[in-house]
Amino acid sequence: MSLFGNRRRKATKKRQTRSGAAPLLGLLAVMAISLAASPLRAGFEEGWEAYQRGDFMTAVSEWKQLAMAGDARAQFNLGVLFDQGKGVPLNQITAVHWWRKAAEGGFASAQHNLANSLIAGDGVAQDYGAAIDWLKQASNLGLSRSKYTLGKMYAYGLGVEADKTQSMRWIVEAAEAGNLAAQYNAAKMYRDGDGVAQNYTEAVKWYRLAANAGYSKAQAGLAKRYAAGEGVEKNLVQALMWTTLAANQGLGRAITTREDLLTTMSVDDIAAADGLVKDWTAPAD
Amino acid sequence: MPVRRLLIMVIVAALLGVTGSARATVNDAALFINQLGNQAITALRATDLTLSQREAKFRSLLSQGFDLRFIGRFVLGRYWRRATPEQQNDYIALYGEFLLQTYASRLGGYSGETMTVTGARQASEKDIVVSTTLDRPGGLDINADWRVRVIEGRYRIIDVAVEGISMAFTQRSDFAAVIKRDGIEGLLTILRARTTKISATASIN
Repeated sequence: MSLFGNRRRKATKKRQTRSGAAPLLGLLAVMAISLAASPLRAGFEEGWEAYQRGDFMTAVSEWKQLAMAGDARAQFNLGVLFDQGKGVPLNQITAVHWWRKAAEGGFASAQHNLANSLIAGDGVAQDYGAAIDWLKQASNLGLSRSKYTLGKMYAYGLGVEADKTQSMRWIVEAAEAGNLAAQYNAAKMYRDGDGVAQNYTEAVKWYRLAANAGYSKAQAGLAKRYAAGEGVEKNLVQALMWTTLAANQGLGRAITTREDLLTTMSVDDIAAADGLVKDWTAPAD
Repeated sequence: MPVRRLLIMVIVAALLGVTGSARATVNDAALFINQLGNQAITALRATDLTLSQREAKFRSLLSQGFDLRFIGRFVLGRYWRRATPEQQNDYIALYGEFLLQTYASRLGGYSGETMTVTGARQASEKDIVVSTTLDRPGGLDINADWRVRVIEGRYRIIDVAVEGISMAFTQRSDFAAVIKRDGIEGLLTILRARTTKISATASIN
């Protein structure tokens, strides 16, 4: 608190100086900006270091000053601390307050979180229409999570008219940006011809990308395509390998598929699949 | 007669043995929570990892300790049977994610945090409640009570009460209200929204 008081006094001093002589105005303005900018940056870093070491109270006090001075990234992070109750008592209304400020400042992650608060009705009245507006803004700024959520909103007709083509468009965009849930959903939509012409080859392409990254539902889906020879040459060893990887993550339907495959496969093929499972390594986070 | 008596004693002992191992004991439940807590705190103290990496480790420990399927079904209550198999699958996956995320971010991450087991009591025929205090700097200590039951031969957490408020019962009534208004799909949409939120960042957009 006292720090904040000091900074406010400094700012007042600066304004008094700037109202001085004309020729020096430009130079003084540059100095004032650099003076004002450096403590802002330092405050953010101090907050970030405190956050990383689990000193959330310091993170709150550092970021709060910046947030009040209009720094969108600090506003966003402060919102996260209030949403999770870190260093402050949990308060979703305050979280929404800070996310809204950062969202209005064009901070995409804040637009995304605000949209999701509006969808869940957490800290704000549920409003799908407003959520759609924010998701569109964040999507246009390139945020793949927002693109995926927007795709789902179009699929279910929440806050917008249900539109399978729009849904597919946003989900594929998110998938192309590497969003695993979107890749899995794109695979399902190609598999079922949902919002797009049915195409098993495309389905396998998206299943494989998410499966390689360790996404269990995509691993199970890829296993089924291998077992049925849909969009890929039939290969029971590959099918057993992928369904086992998904089953090892606790996915119920993969466990069933694995049991079914085990009853039809030769001992050699089962051993080959087990070898592949042992060799497979999950990608680093 | 003595033979018969012996036989009865053997049967009784066997029965006691079976029920004994199938039910949680106060000491073992306290030990289980203490061990899990210490592992979690060790994971959270690893200074060479980022906070999100430490929280991921903490989550994986919690996921082994919690019976997420059991809790998820309890929380959905009578609506579980009304959900389609696809909805049940989606719900269990989303709920597990939601619960782990909530607890990993709310319970962990504080520097210098320690956990003390302050007591354990038989809460019902099958359940033991283990009381703990999470000591944190700055007066943000919280009390958490862990309801523990033996499921399939393992000690599992089936509820947590933070400051006396049961997570399972609170969520059960919250979820029922949502389902009454927007159906099971409405609940899934909310869980999806809650689990997709982005955490604190040093990136500039």
